[in-house]
Formats: sequence, C-alpha cells, structure tokens
Amino acid sequence: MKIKNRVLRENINSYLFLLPFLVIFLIFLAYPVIYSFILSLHRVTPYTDLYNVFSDMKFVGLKNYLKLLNDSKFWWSLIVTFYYAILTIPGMIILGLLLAIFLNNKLPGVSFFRSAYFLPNVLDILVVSLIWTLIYSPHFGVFVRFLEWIGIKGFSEKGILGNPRTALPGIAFAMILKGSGFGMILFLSAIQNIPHSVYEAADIDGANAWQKLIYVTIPLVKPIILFLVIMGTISSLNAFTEIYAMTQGGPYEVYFLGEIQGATKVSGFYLFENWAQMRYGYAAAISYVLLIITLIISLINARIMRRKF
Amino acid sequence: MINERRIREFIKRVILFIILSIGAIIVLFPFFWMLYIALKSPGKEFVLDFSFVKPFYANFLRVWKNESFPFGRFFLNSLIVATSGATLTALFCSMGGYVFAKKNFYLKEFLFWIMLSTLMVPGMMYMVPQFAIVTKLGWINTYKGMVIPHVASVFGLFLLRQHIETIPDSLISSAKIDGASEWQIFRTIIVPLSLPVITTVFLLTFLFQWTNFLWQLVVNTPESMKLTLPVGLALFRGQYQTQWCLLMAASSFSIIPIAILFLIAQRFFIEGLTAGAIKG
Amino acid sequence: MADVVLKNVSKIYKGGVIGCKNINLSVSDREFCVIVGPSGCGKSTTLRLIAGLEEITEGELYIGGDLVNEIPPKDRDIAMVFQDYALYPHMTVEENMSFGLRLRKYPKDEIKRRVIEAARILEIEHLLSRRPKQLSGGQRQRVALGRAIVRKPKVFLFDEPLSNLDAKLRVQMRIEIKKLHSKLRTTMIYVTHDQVEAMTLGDKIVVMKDGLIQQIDDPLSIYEKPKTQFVAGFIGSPPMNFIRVKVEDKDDYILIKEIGDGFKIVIDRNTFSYLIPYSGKEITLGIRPEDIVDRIFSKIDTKENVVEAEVVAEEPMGSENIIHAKTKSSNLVIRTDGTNRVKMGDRLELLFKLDKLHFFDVDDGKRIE
Repeated sequence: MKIKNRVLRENINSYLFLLPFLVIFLIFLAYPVIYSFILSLHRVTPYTDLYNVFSDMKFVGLKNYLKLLNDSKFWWSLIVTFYYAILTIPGMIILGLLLAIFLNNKLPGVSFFRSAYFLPNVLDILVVSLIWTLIYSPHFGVFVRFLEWIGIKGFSEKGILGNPRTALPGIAFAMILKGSGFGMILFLSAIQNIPHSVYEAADIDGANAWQKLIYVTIPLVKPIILFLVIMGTISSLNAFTEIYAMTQGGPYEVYFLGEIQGATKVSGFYLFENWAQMRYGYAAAISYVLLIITLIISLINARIMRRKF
Repeated sequence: MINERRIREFIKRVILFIILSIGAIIVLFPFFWMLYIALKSPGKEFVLDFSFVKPFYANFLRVWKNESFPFGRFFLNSLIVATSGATLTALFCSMGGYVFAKKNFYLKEFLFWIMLSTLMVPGMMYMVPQFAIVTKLGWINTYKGMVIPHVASVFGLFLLRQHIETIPDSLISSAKIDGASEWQIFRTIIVPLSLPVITTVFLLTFLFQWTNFLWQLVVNTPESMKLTLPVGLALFRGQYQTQWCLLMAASSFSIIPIAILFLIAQRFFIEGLTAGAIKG
Repeated sequence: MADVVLKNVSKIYKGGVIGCKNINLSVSDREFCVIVGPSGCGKSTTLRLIAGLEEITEGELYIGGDLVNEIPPKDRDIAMVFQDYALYPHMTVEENMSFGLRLRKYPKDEIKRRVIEAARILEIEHLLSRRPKQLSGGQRQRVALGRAIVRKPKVFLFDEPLSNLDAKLRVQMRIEIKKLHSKLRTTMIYVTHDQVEAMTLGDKIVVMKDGLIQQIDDPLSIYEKPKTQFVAGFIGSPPMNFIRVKVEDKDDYILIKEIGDGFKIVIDRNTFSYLIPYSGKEITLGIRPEDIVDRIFSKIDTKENVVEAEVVAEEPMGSENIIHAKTKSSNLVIRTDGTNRVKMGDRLELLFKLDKLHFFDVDDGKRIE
C-alpha cells in the first residue's frame, strides 16, 4: 500500500504535466484517424445546417470506397501526384547535394550563400506561389519575356501555367528553388561529419573528384537521401497550396478515361475540392486511401534504400 | 609545380564563387521581383523600367488600410495566431517532453508509440476530420479554431524529450533535496536549461502557423474577421486579379517579417530542422 | 543533529534486480560514516534510499528517531553532494547555494548571511557571482559543499564527491571535508569506492559487496581484523597476499604447508588453536605486504620458517619499495624500506610476521579465529 502511494503520486504528477498536450493530441490527432474512417462510411447531407454541418449523416458502408474505384478524377489525381513527385524529388536532392558540395569549400561568403539558399524555405508557400504566378504570367511575365529573349516562343498567349505540358513542371521548378536549401543544409552537415581521413584514403587510392563523390560521399549521405525521398513523397501527397495559388488544378485540357482532367490536379487538391463541395464522407474516404498509400510508399522506400548502395 | 597547383585551385574557387552567386540570384530573384513590383504604379507593373510609385510606400499604405481587404488587420490576426500557437506549443511540448524524458508512468511506451505513428500520417488527411471536430465545437471563425488543433506538435515533443534526456538526473535529485516541487523543478531547472530548444520549437511553430494556409482557409468563412495574411491574399487575388502591385505589396507583409526573423534566429531554425531529419 | 538507523532495509528493482539487501546500519549523531565497496555493490543505492530519492522496498529508515520511509527528500532535512556536483549550470554560485533556502522562503538577509558564512568557510567568497562553467573542478566541488552547508541539515550525504577530481586535488579536498566535519559536527554519510578515502575519513566504515554489508567497524579494526577475505583484499594497498595452504596438526605445533610442495611454516598450537579443526584441510592464508620481511635486512638470524622466493619485479617509489616475488606456487607482494633494492631473479629468504597472519575459509571466505 505504501509503495503504491509513491508510484501513484508519480503517475498523477506525470499525467498532470502531460495533460494539455495529451488532450489536444487525442482530440485533434489520434481521434481524427478513427473518426475519418467512420466518416468515410457515411454520406453527409450538405447544406442541412451551416453551424452543424455533420448533423445529418447516413451510413452507407463501403459505398464511398466503391465509388472511388470508378472515379477517373481520383485516379488521374494520383497520376498527377506521382508525376509531381518525380518532377520535384530528384531535382531537390540533386540540387541540394550539389549546393552542399560547393559550399563545403573554403570560399568567401559561404555563410551568406548558405543563408540565401535556405531562406526561401521558411517563407510562406502561398506568397511564393503568387510571386511565381506573376513571374510566369502570359504576355508580360518576366519568365516568358526571358524565354522570348533567348528565342523560345509560344508561351506568350497562355504563359507557363496555362499550358498543360508546362504547368506542372513550372510549379515543380518553383518549388525546387524554394525547397532545395533544406536538402542542402542536411547534406552539408552530413558531409562535414565525414572524417577528412576518408577522403585522404581515397586520394591515396587514386580516386578522382567524381569517383570520390560516387564511392565516398553519396554512400555516406544515403540516410539523408532516404529521408528526403520519404519527405518529398509525403509532401507531394500533401501538395495543395502551390496548386491552389498557381493553377487551381487547371488547365483543363487533358483527357483521361474519357473525361476532361486538370493538368495539375494533384490528389491533395482533389481532396480539397471534395471538401469544398461539402462531400465530407467522400473526402474522408479519399483521405484514408491517401493515408494507406503514404504508409505503403514509406515502407517501400525504406526497403529499397536498405538494399541498394 | 606548386604554383601551377595553386593557380588551378584559385581558378576552381573563382568558378565556384561565380556559380554560387548566380544560383543565389536565381533563388532570391522572386523576392526582389516582389519588392520591385510592389513599388510600381498600378497598371504599370509590366513596364520594365525604374519608374516607381510616389511616395514609394503608397501601395503598402493602400493595402494596409484597404476597406474590404484590411491587410493591417490580417497581419495582426496572423501575428496573434502564430504567437499564441507557438507559445502554447512550446509550453505543452516542454511539459510533455520533460515527462517522457525523466519520468515513469503508466502507458508511457504505448503513448510514445501512438505519437510516433501519427508522424507518418500526411497532414492533408487531417483536413476533413479536424474540420468536423472544429465545426462541432463551434470554433469556426475563431482564433482557437485556427490555433489549438495544431498545438500538440509531436515533432516538438520529441525534440524536447531528446534534449531533456541529456540533462543529468543528479540536477533533478539535487533540486528535490533542495525542496523543489515538481512544478518548481520544471520551471527553475528544466525550462532554463532547455531554452535554446524551446526557442527552436517556438520559432518553427511560429513559422508553421504563420504559413498554414490550408487550415486557416478551412476554418474561416470568407467574411470572417479572423482572416490571416495568406487567406486574405488568396481572397484578394480572387477579386482583383490584375492589381499585381497591390498584391505584391500585401505579400511583403508576410515575407519581410519572416525573412528578418530568419536572419536573426537562423541558428535555431537550421538546428531544429536538421535535428528532425537526423532522428528520422 | 540526528542519528540515522537502517533496519533490514532492502531495495529490489523491477525484474528482481537487487539494489541492496538486509541493510542494518546505525550511524550515531555527529559520526562520519563511510560506505565503501566496488562499483555495483549497492553503496550508492543505500545512500539514495537514505536521501529518499528512491523508494525503500522493505525495512525501516529512521532519521533523528523518526520513521522517514514515506517522507519526501525535501522534508528529511538532509543535504547531498553528488559525484558530478549537480550544480545548476544556469545559476551563479550564489544562486546555486541559496536555491534550497529560497525555495523554503527564508528571509533575504538570512539567506545572504548563510551564503557568505559558508563561502567564507570554503574560501569561495570571490567566486559568488560566477557560473559553474567558469569554475575549476576543485572550485565546483567547494560550491557543491557550500550548497549543502548553507542548508544546515541534520545529515550530510556524499555520493563519491571526489571521484571527478585529479589525484592531487582529491587528497586536498579529502582533508577539507575532514576539517569541515570537525567544524560542523554533523552526521555525515559518505559513499566511495576508494578505500584510502574510506580509511582516512571514516569514524566508521561499512564495506559492501553485491548488495550486502560485509563488515561495519572502525578503520583500524577493518584493517587488522577483516571479517572476510573480500574485506581483507579490498582494504589496503597494495592488497593483502592470499596463499592457498594446507593445515596439519602435529600435536606440538601446527604446520602450514603451501599447496604444491612449497614453503612450510611452523606456528604455535596454543595461539592458533582455532586452526585445529581445519587439520588436513585447505584454507587461505592472508598476509599484508608490510608484514613480510627479508631475513637479510631484518637482522633475524633464524633459519626457521623461511619462505624462499624469486624476485620477478620491483616498483621503487623512493620512500618504500614494492617487490613482487614468486614462491613455488604463489605470487607475493612485499613492501619494504625504500633503500632495500633488489634485482630481477634475486632469491629472497622471507619471514612472515606470525602475529599478523590471517586465515580465511576457502568455501565462504569468512575469517577463521
């Protein structure tokens, strides 16, 4: 009995400290995972009551999921998301690694460059996207003018974002420039942790700069690459703001499974559209499928990276 | 021989320096462009010259006090949301991190595991259920609706737990013998010794709340008085598609404070973001 | 001022790991008690139980006559000095020292007075506004002591307080602590793994091993009459020599024979009558290095009881000379005067001081007497 007292006191103290965090965590992070699933089994009648949107729910079983299977827009959004990931992830990794290798030299202004490349990372993604919309805009946009100046024509009418072929790569380019500083910082700290003697040993073994990169640096920064791939995948699945600000999912000039699709409509934006149209049950089902895809991709990534290199 | 090598080394560095400079110009170009456009007269945004609006702050003033889009108000809202969110997050994460680092309690491992697994859930997935919960709580168009759902930062908790674990147990034992209560130990020993990490968590959360466009869009109806900068910007653009100089002036209100904050407290941002990656 | 009494105190951790077992110890008021033993012997656990930092699984603990099992550390009126000093890095020396008093809401001038008084005793007045990082190891140690002193507790607890200091400082601080004890005249319980600290500081020494108390005694009794072979080997440097021997009762005398046809020693049957029951059995003979003498240097002219050995190494230290020698089947360490130099391979004729022989049971290691 006596012993239990102290254990009990320790428990009460611990939970008192944990309480604020735990309550919010359980309500807003743990419960939603379950609630989302419950919601996905229901049809929520829109416009019943603006202040109690979820008052009229009807259980429909797996109907939302079955509908999802036949929804060409959903499948298209997954393809776009995948394409977006392929456009951004390698670019960010390569650019980040290159910058890190460059900055790992004794140069004047290294710390200035480091800050300059990292700065865009912390800035508001919506604002950055708006600025790029301006830069990419048709006729007078500075990017289009630059292209014309170097002799590439044909973007004048629609700009970069109005053209279904260049819209998503355009967005990806802007996001690579915004995000590669993050990879750079990670690579830089990893490279600086590689002992100098490893490179000296490679020198003595007769490796040139390229061979040192391939056989020494890259294998040693492998965990960073894995991390960036996983992060990049998750952020592609989360991509929303840049699409919202730059194209709203358009331009609508692509045909897929007999329907017109938005060239930049990633799954995150499609999910948002369903939410905005008050199809909450359906949106919840999309969320759940996206969650499962995320988990699978994370697992596969981890497997592949462990085997290779 | 030595000379030749030195010259080659020097040329290599010059080339690197030039490449990095060009790269920096490209990366930072959008922000200079934003400022450049923000200083142009309305309607003259696409005339590439150096004639600017007079006085130079005219555009900033116009959007700051705009009647239908009061960016001054939006700025204040953003500040309130980001500051309160960051304060609460830093506090709750420190308290939780302390307990996870230094105490034993029932279900500790289980809770830890649950928290760890929510890190895998993509944020987008939370939009619908969190919106449902916030609606039921009646928190639409409120500060708490914007702030509280994101206050339980598992990342922040782990960061602090990791740090607090390095504080020697003997300090806590010593404080106990000195007569400190649990709360006094936390406040007078743990918090002062974790201040750099708490600052990191504060700044990262501030940044997160400042730029959390989607959630702020979701919990606010367009006529809300609690609109933040990014949501205000998005709505403004929806109405005045072509007023680029005003839009860019309003954008500066979001960009410039964060850029300054970053330059002042760069160390904390970089350490926090790298720490998360090394753990993962 | 208070005494500390432990009655059958045990600490058993989760999963059955024993911290310490059946500790019976009574430290009287103003006594300096040293708990000594190798690492993992349970000495720190015992101290933490007294401090209240850990829960007593079984048994009773009294401080100043009160049962304190359930009293939290802050209400036990104790102070503790930790091995790593546990100075609060974000506070100045003064803040560190006054922290406990401030938490207890002492009046400001009283706090000030006590801090200055303690600082004067420890000669750290000039350091009061510094932070721990700006102090040397010895200074930090003094601050840790000062933090304990200002509280004027009933009992001082020390958890290996000197083990982070270099050898020279350790000796110096040892003397400081001894002086402090005679000045403050408070009960002190001191944990160390260093037997020299134990011998020099303690009024009472508690030797522990594997969670159990081996012996409680004053320093000289521990040295001269160790109750177990473990205590005999742990206390003293270089450690006691142990030689496996066979006892033979020869009616007029008792013969001690080294195992493996080695040396033979004849001892008096009356004096060593307690060995008679062991006749024909093997036991362990213990002899301290300083209790072995070289016949040549000792001016003793007897050929009796000579132990022949060959020198294998020597450690001259100036004031004394430690000689390592080999008998037929055991190794001996001999402590002699610094002037007695030997060469490798020298054959020595050694004599054991017969009144300084120790005998231990082979099975349980207990002293035979």
